[in-house]
Amino acid sequence: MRWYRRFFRRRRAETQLDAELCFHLDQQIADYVAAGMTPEEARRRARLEFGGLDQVKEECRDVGAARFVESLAQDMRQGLRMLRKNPGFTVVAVLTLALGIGANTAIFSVIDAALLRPLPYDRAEQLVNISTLHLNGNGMVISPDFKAWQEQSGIFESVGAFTLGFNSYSRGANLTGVGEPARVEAINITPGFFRVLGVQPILGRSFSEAEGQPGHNQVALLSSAVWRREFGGDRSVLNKTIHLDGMPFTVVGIMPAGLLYPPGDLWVPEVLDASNSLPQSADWRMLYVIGRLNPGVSLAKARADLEVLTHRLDAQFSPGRRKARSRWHVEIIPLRQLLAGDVGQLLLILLVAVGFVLLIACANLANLLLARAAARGKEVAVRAALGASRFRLVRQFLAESVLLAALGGGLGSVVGLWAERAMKQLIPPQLPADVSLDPRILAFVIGASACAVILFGLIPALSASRVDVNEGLKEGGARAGLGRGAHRLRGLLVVAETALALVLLTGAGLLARSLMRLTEVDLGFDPHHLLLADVWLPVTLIDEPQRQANFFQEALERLGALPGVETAAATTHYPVSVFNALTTGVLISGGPAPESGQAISIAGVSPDYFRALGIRLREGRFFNSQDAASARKVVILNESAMRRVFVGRDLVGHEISLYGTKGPWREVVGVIADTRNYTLEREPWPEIYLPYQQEPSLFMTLVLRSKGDPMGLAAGLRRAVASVDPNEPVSGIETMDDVVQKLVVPRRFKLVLLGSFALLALALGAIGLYGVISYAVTERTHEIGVRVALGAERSDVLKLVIGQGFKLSLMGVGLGIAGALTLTRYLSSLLYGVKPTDPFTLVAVSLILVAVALLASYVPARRAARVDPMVALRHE
Amino acid sequence: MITGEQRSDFLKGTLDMLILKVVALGPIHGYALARRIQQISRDVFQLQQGSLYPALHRLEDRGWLRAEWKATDTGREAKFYALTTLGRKQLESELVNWERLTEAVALILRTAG
Repeated sequence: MRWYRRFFRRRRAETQLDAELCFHLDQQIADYVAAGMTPEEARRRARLEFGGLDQVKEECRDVGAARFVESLAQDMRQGLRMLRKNPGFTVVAVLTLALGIGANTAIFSVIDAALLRPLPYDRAEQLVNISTLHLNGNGMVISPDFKAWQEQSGIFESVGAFTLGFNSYSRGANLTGVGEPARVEAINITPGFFRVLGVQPILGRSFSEAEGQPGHNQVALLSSAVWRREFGGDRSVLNKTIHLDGMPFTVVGIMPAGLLYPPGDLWVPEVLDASNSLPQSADWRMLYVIGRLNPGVSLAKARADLEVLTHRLDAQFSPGRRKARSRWHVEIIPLRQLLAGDVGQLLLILLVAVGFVLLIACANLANLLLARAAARGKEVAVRAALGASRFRLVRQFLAESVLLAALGGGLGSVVGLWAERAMKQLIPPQLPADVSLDPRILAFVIGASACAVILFGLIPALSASRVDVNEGLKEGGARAGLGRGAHRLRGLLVVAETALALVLLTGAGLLARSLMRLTEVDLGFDPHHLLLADVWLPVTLIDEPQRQANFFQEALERLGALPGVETAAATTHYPVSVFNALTTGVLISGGPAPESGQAISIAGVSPDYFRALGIRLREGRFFNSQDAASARKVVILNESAMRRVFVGRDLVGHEISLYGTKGPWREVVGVIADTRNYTLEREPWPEIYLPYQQEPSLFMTLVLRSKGDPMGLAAGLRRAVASVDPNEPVSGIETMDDVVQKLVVPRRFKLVLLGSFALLALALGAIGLYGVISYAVTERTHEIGVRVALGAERSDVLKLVIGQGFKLSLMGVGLGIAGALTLTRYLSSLLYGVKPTDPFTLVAVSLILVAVALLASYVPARRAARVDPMVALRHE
Repeated sequence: MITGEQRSDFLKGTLDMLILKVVALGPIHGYALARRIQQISRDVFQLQQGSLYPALHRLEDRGWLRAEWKATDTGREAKFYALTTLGRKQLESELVNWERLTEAVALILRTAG
């Protein structure tokens, strides 16, 4: 304490030092004079003997500083000794901290990568995504609007757009002429798209504006990935001709790796001209649009201005369109937000979860420190009696806390590195996944937890050092120290821990219930032993339906003859996948119009499709080989279509039209059972099936039911397709089991994450409760001894102690349920088939917590029950 | 074995012990302390003022000595040092150590001689 007094009263200390030394010299001089020296000689001699006055002063001044460093080192050494002497305490405390710190750092780093870090573009903050919100929620922009936006000058520096799909017909294209034919994602972009982003090719050049004109657009830019994959990274590919769906394109440039936007393996110019981009055009392009805002233009202002601009165009559209357009809205969001998608909510939930874990960890640590401070009451009292200042005591406890925090932080960064690798997959694939443990974040989390540890480390230090020396020494035993307030504090901490753990467990429980519900879902088909493979015919065949149908018919014949194949079939849409075609114009011949606005999926299938998937027939018949192109047109409905669109009318034998009054009219020949035909989680969607011969498609998925391992058929499948047309690539080969599994994996991953946080919280909470109860038992040994001596049964003692833990856990559970009821609703977007307030989950989780609490108090209770009254009474 | 650094520690410890012992007799200021040590040791210890004052400040900082400004016989203010409880304990333990050490040294000198 003296060092700081000296620090603050430096000037006074300095004068005092001067006075002290001056006094010494004067006395010496006086003595020499008394012995007969002249005053001059006496002064000279005295000064000489004393030596360097300033040096002595300096040494005196240094005492304080040296003392501080020395005692700090001593504190640290003693702290280390204490930690080594209590390995149980140390291990629990350090692990607790490390897990809290590690989990938090990892989550923060992932959040930074997914939500905060700017995109790797020049002046990325100006980049926005622009969409038009139509009534049905479609965010794509029609080409006339894009043209109008391109011509404005005030809002954007520049705008660019791309279409999802090659020449707006097909998703991607068949790349031929280089090795094996391959399916690539070829996408049309406006020539200036990469200039909007500010990205330059690493080789060659970008598109010129002239290349957006018809006749000049046979050029292509390759992505780094496809350049490496299909061309082996060969630089000579520049200015060479490649073939996409049989059409020649000249490679003019290679784009850099790590390009986040737009999607695609390679890009070709989009031609927006009078044929497709005027309000009067028959066939608009549907576009995804980005823009670079002018500096200083806010999102709100850009949105408002663009909305005015867009509606100014309304008058040029046909009256029917005009009315619909008047209700359209323009939406502008930062490009970063578009790319991050909805991962933000999940990350925030996890952030809250790890925050809870850290809170529990700190509470636990506080509890441990409190318990130890109490156990060391006597030590503190002795040291206080021996004259140790309160400051000195506080510093001793502080040193231990700092050591704990340092150890926890060190181990925590290791945990963080490990956890981060595991959590990396939370980052949306379209964002750069180069998560690194950000030292700033680590420093922040360690700093925060160190603050918490030191804060909690100080509470016992302060209350212990306020100890009444006499009381502490008189009471003897280790029981001296903490008063009633500290007890209540420890109880409160345990209640809070239990409550937080319950909230986390409830969240994990809800996710677990969702996952269970999802895996129990009746798919409506048998997903085992199925192999899927996509085949896209080139866009050049768009107007030749017969050739499309012939290709697939021939392929199916060869596939059916492969050994190991039970059934070979094809479809344009298989269950759990995303729809390709929807219609809202279904009519029943001579009947009332069906429920309007209900979109119905349309799928073309081969006759054996339903049998291959194991889909059940409800009514009528399946398709067969007689349902050929020239035969009477037929359809099959699923039950949902029956029920929801045609409100349960028995339609078998009736005729319907898919696209309004123009027809063609098709006879309903059968009804099949529902399948999960739009992801796993959505209720079955109304669907109408057509024989593919009657409505051929450029794209079909081949479906093989195998006798053995479906993947074993992959090579044969490739060969069979190549034997029909060697230029036809097969892509997306996977088993149906894998497809279904992939839909469950993200959910399982979230469950594992939240679940491990919840288990961590439960374990920490249990440790906390155990600590409190077992401390209470130690403290009440005497009282228990008296009770036993007075005839209390062992079971009474057991009840007494467990009752205390039970009470605390019940309070925690009550508080936790209230917390869970308010918080779990933020989970609802992650849940399936279970309400956020699911009573079953709440009850189950509460029971688990109470059971764990009882177990945690049973161990010390048993110790209490075995107390020997003789020993206990001598305990003093 | 007493090596370089330890020797200075050893001497410093001896000086501390002497100071504590003398101060134990009653509150005393630095000059008088120096004189007293010199006198008692019959001038064997030529105490360097250069080491006396840092030692006093060090002992005060450790809480073994307590300082107070008081008037001397001549009426002038001087800084008087007195022993604290901690200082007394320290002195006791150092005396025990010292006796053990000197006994051991004496034993060695006797038997080895």
